[in-house]
Amino acid sequence: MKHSIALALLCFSLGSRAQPEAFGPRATGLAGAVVADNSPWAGFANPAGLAAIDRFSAALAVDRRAWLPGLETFGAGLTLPAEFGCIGLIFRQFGYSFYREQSASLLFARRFGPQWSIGIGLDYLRLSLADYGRRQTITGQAGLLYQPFNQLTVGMRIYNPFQAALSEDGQENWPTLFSLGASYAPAQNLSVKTQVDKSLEGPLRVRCGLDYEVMESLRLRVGFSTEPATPQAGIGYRLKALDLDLGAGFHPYLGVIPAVGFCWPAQKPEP
Amino acid sequence: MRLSVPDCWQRGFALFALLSFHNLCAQPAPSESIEQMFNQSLDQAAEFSDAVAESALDALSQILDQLAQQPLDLNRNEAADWQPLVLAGLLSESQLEELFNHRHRYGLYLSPYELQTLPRMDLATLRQLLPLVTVGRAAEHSTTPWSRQWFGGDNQLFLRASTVLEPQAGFRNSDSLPGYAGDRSKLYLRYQYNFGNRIRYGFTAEKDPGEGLFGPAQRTGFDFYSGHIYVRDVGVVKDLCFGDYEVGFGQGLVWGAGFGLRKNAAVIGGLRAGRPIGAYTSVGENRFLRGAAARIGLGTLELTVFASHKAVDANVVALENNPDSLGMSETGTDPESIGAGAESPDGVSAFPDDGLHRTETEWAKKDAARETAFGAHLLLRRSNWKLGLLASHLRYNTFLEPSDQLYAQYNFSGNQLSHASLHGSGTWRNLSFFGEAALSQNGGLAAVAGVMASLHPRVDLSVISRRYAPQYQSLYASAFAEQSSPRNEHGIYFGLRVRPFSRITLDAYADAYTHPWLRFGADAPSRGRDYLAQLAYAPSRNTLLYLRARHEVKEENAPANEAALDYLTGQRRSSLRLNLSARLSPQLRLQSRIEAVWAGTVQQPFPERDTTTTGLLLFQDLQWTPARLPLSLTVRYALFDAQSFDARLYAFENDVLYSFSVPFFQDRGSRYYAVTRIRLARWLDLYLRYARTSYQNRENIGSGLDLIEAPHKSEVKAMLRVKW
Repeated sequence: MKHSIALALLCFSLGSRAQPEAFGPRATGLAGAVVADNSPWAGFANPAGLAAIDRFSAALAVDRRAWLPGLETFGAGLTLPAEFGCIGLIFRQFGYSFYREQSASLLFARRFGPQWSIGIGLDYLRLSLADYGRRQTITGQAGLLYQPFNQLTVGMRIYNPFQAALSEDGQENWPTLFSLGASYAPAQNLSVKTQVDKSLEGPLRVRCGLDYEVMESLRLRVGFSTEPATPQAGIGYRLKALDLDLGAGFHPYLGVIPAVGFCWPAQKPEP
Repeated sequence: MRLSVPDCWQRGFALFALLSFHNLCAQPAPSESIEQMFNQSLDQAAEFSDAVAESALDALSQILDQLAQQPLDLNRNEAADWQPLVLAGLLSESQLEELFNHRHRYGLYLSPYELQTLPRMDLATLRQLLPLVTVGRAAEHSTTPWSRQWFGGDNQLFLRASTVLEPQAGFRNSDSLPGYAGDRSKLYLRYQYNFGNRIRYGFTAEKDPGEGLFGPAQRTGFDFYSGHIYVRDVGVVKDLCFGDYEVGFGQGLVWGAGFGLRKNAAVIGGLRAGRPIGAYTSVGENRFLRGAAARIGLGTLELTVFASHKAVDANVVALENNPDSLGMSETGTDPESIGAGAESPDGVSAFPDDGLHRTETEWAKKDAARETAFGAHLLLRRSNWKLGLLASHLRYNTFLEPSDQLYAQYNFSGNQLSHASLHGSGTWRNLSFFGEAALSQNGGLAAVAGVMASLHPRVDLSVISRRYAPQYQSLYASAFAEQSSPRNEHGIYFGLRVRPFSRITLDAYADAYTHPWLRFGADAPSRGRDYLAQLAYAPSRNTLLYLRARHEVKEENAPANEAALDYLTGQRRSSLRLNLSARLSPQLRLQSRIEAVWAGTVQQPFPERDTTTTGLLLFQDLQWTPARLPLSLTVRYALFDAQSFDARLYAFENDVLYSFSVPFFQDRGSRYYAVTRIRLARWLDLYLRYARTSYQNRENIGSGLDLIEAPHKSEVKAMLRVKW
């Protein structure tokens, strides 16, 4: 019990409300600079990124902070392309029986011409604390992708714009996050990504990542995010119809934050 | 040279491409002189200059000197000779690799223009490179008789004098204050002989302001003399040097030949040293070797041996009866401080490196210790992989007993220091790897490893990881580190260069590091981070505009702390620079800059104690090279307003040939300088320089014997260069 309370306190003190930030091994390897990405993982970063998905796909991932049991985040995403656009379903859970954050999001994305995509989402959030009960609320997000020319994509996403909170006294704020970034892909096997994130409560974070297909079906990723200074790295491997990804952040205070996950079906390389 | 059929095709295509390339061929060789180009890279490096950069600049000047004497030969020079260009940011590691591969595959270069057929060579690089390279015919030197090689080459003589015009306290004759022994002039004399880059010999003599020149204060004339004889490529002997020289191996963890520009705006800059042996021609009075060194190449094996014995400056301290105890009378904890003379010179507290011997106390440290160094280095080459093994030993005739402060606990003490090191480098596809691990006698380990990846013609990435134990000791290292020597530091560095469009270059780096042990000014293990981003836009060949942001946070003892215990806070330094340089005509070049710095405390638990200060620097340069007059003129006017030392700003300044100045600006005032070169004859150049800084919010400048009781400081400098 003591252990659990300590963990719960740790969750609070670390501001572990990381939910709106990009999630998954791919994002971890790229230091979270994925707001301008098109992929089934986009549901965790920018709903507009789902607009380009043309097949049903599923993604599943888990990460663990400070290598402590109980500080895992599980996430699952489903992408369902349709005539009128693309629908995404995202589930995410952080914590364990004494402290748990859960969210479910319904996303919708579609293209507007060859250059623009827009995505919106509705998010249901729930926070459960053993012996204290639970709180829940509903919030939303919206994102935009703009591809001025083939090699460059610019992405923007606003999460929780109206500052929905889990309590009315303002003590249980849910983060409001603005992300703006770009992805530059000079070749099929290479993309360079950069992004700035500003949450209402935290400092401006700059993220930068690089994704390189070093050989057929093997991708290497490195990234760096500031505040705190966190080098990150990852590997992606295409195993037949499955994309297997591994990522790790090297947090200055929390140590290694590993993430692992897969995506089905495997994605074609970025254009 | 035999070419296979496809090779002939390749070659024919190459020549066709070459001839059809009007843009380059129609132009005369780029008028941008080597010097100007290097000034640009020095300017870039200068911002990162602390004490170390001084020697780096000095080393760069030596390289510049050599390049000016002799362009690099595409067909003859080995990779090590090209490394300076990589370090100066003119050439990337992968371009260099390609340059050599091309020679391997297609044989000797026919013309420097052939470089444009290399896929990774871009136009801008090519333009910069062309004046520096040549295509020689093999075996040219071997036909020249020895007597001509030794006496028929190029001779140069430099005579330089400079002084500060305002009277300084140390030069006033007063009985109460014992001043400097000599006069206030700084004198420099250098003779250099070059036969291509094959044979070099020369000597240097120097006197700093306040040091004696002949007479009772300095009977031997100048305060510092240096000389060398250097020969390369005689049979199996690749390099042979007698006299004063420098050595550098691997990543410089043990021996770094002075030239290691550390972090740099050219974030993809290489790290590897050039040739392992180089003649020493600069005027730093302590950090070099004196004796003999040779490098012998036997097929894939290469052996370098060196031996040196010389006097070094040392702060002599009187050890108390028990030399083993730490309770010694010590005159200064800072290695830069001047030690007092002592009656029983049985120990030294530091090896100061300022080379100043103006007063009796400074005189007391001159050559107070003797240093013997020797070592051997074995290098194995296999295609483009290299593996090196180094063992070396340093010995002093006296015991070094450094400060007993806790932060200095792991500093070198004793009278001898041995090292062993293993290093390697190589390339695989478009990735170049390098690394070194070094062990010092006390068991301290330092290791650095990195990769430079040319992922795409438009994208370069470098990642460098370092792990230097607090226990690692080295006295001649110059390696990739946040601090001046590779110890007590773990870190990882990412550098990225992206050229999304031909006119735009984006550079960025991030470096995160920790110091596992205390440092001077940080009474606990500490962290730091350093970020840089630069956007450069070159709308035309003659114009470059760049915007650079840099942000660095370092943990240090909280300033103005009144508590009994020191605690760490993050000291921030952020800067923003906008720089425009443009050549309006072949005669006229302009540069303008505005730079702002914010320095203060972050993570401050007492926000009311936060004292962020700002600094601002603006300057305008004008460079005029009249077409019909044998002279050139550079002037600058700068205005500065920096509220504190932490918010100081640096700016590189043009100077007379082969000397550099990077003054820093603090307080409020203005500075201007003018430097001119007058070609009196084909064989005779005269350089003149005048610089003056005027302060608005100060009444005097400097302190102690350097005190100037006026709010301004002016320097004049003159140099004659004779060539024959």
